[in-house]
Amino acid sequence: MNLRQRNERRLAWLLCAPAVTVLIGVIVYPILYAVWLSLFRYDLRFPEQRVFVGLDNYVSILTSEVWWQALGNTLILTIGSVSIELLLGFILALIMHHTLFWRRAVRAAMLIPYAMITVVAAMAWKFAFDPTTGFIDALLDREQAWLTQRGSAFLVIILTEVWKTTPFMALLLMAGLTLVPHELIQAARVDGANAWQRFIKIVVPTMKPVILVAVLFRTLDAFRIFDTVFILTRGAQNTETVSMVGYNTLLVSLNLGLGSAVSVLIFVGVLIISIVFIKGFGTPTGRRGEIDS
Amino acid sequence: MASVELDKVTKQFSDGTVAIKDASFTIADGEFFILVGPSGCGKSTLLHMIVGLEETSSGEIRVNGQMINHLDPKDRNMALVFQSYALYPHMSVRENIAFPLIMAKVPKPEIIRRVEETAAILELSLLLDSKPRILSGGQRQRVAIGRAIVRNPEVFLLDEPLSNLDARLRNQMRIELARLHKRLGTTTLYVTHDQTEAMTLGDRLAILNKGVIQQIGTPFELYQQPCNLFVAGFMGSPAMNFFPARIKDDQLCFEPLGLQTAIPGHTDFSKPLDYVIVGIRPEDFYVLSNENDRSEQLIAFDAQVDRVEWLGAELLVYIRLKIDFWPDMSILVRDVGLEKKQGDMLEVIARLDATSTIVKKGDTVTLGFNIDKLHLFDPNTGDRLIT
Amino acid sequence: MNRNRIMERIFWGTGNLIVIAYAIVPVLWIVSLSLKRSGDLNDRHFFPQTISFEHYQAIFLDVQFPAALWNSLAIAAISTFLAVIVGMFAAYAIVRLTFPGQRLLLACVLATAMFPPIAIIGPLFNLWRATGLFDTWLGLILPYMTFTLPLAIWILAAFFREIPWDLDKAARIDGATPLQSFIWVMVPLAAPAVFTTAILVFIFAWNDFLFAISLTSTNNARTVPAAIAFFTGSSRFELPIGSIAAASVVITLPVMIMVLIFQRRIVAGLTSGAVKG
Repeated sequence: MNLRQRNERRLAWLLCAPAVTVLIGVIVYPILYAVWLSLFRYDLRFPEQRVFVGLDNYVSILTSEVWWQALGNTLILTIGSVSIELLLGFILALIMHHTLFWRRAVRAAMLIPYAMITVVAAMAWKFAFDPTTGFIDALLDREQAWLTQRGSAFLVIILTEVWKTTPFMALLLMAGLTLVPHELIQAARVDGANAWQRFIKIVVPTMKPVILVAVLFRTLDAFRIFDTVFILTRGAQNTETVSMVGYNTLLVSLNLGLGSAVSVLIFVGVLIISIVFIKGFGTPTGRRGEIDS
Repeated sequence: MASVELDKVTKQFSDGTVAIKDASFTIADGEFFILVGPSGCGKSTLLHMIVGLEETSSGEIRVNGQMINHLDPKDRNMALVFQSYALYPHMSVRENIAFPLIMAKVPKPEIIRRVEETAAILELSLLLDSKPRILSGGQRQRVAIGRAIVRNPEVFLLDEPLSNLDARLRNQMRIELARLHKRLGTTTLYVTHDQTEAMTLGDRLAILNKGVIQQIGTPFELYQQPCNLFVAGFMGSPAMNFFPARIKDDQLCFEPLGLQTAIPGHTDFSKPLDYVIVGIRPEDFYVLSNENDRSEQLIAFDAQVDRVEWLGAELLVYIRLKIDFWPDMSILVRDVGLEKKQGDMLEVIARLDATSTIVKKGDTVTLGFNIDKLHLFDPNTGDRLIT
Repeated sequence: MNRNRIMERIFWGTGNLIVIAYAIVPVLWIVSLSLKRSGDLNDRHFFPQTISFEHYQAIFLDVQFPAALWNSLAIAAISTFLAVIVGMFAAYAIVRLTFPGQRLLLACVLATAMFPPIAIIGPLFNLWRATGLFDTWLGLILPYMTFTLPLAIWILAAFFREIPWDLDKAARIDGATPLQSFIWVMVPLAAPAVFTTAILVFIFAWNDFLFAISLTSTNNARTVPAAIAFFTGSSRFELPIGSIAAASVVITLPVMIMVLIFQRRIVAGLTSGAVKG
């Protein structure tokens, strides 16, 4: 190795150093610290009573009904919102892609939900569904307290989540649509495929990588849902999600040991989802090889 | 002013592939030197090694006798014109040309003066404040050249500079480049895959194939005395005709023509060979109109014309010969397009004077060639058999 | 114009209207709530019958909201600045230089993008309390810039990859050091991508709720989303709807205008990672 190569390496490391430092300091170290803390009984209200308990925290979480209930809720919300988003996202993407006029305005409109703060969006829907303030009940001509029943509360949560994040999905899918070669569609048309067949047999398979990335992003995002539920129900009516269980244990009960174990379990959940996606559907994050060419 | 010397320069990539092997040549001070070869032969790699963008694995690169292998590009005082021009899109023409001077911390008034001067030479004065994106291809090319010459580099390097221009502009820029070199007298290394460009521009050429320098010389030398099959096949358009010929009793047998002749003089037969590859340039054929034209040195044969291409001043006549002698030839031979073809037919091109010859498709003509014009090559090594 | 063409226009016109309505209804709703008089809040009309700015007056007269707004602005701006600078350095190194650990670094960056923030809330809460970062600007800036780094590196790397290599080489031959080439050639060329990245990072920091409620406790560093969630009304069980709506409009409109102006860049930024992958 000669001087110039060494210089290049030194520069590279120098340039990466700040990024690596904060990533280690703010993510790697805390997650390891969380794993460490999860092995202790450690309540911040009684810090001096810190005791090493091994895997006891995990045992008590995995045997508690609260955790499984929250996990179930989270999965319902995740699957419910992501599947609706995919469907709705495709419709919106097709409209944006094919529309004959106002193309710019339609795409601009899609960014509005993205630009709205989640807390604000949740507030807007909360007020809209409120029986005394909202316009929904007036519109439907009924008196229903949507957020006071589990089923309808889920509906409102999913609606809020879908409203806020479908545009992201739709924009990704639209970008994917632009990648489908026009000749391919024309060829299928010549071969006698109708619009629906062209969509299912040509467009969707060609877009598969984009669809997978979009669904993976959104699934991971939905799995950690917190803001929406916090604002809409605060976990009441049995709508608590895993992130809320984590937050409540850590910052409301100040039980750092148990809360850290919840955090680690959520982290493991995210890991499992990623692995299932990447192994199960091929690598959706795709051609990473280009980086060093 | 500088001379550039390459001494056994080798480039081996980390994956083991050898891109350049033992390249040695010297570019004299003020010379216009051309590095020519087919795409993928390693010429850009060699250029990048000289300018310092690529490491040299072994060997030495010297400028004025001084080894510069480990110098950073910025310390080599060489300028490079890229194939893509690599104009900085966010800078105006003026800023583009001034950039090397700013980097060299030249005082401001001098920068202004030298940029104006350079722009005047290249007729860019009116465009100085434009951004590259509004310029035409030829103008961009001139800005790239301006950026290269503005700091009076010791060596001026050009990487396929004309390949992005249309044919007409290419000819024009070729003339301008030659004129510019005459005016500045800077040592120039020009890389191209186009042998026409190479022949018309260069004082001397180096031909590169698969990372190995094949031959170095003036265009005339390379054309008249190619040292091996590759050079013979690469220089000249249309390319030299090749075919195998058996050696029998010190006679050369052209079996497709049913002819036999003495082996030309100056042929090196130190190695016993039972056949050789014979090459003949298309322009070395004559049309014989009557028996009287035949002589000792001239070999004549009759052939049917397969097709004719008329190029104005000249005529390309294609004939197809049936050939039964197909020895098992090495890969070398395949590079020049000589391998067993379907139906054992061999296509030969003759380039004739269009004003004095009238030949139509299907005609039978008598073609002749002088045996002194034959090039004989060793079929195993590809080397020319010459003493 | 034949019948088919008319039908086609009606079809797409309806489609467009549905998309626009989808996006705009909740925004209009919160705007009209904020403009209703206190007494009209429960009139169950979509639009205000009488327009009044009393809620805007109220939130700006209170100490809490102006403080939170200032915190939000400053924290998001500083986080954005740092994330873009740090991300730009790393992206340049990853794309343009060769060094051992390159792939590992990129893999780690990607992994962070999928990381759930809740997993480190506990340790950060504890660490920040121990180090005095709790309830400070820096205490929020650090997690924000870290969590947006992957996005920043990703977009900038995708962009750097598309800048022709020759420009960097040309600069080097023209006498620039690698650092000079970076500053003179790469940075100006990357300006649009940097800008896109900055907007997206800003939106992330502006939008965050979890860190904001976990790592702050007072007006010192509490940002608007957290403040809104903890606005108190006249009684514990009654939400100050008017104030919340007014505060929401105040923090939503500027971002929304910015996003609409730079629409094209933002769409490109959001989709660059997934599509080019």
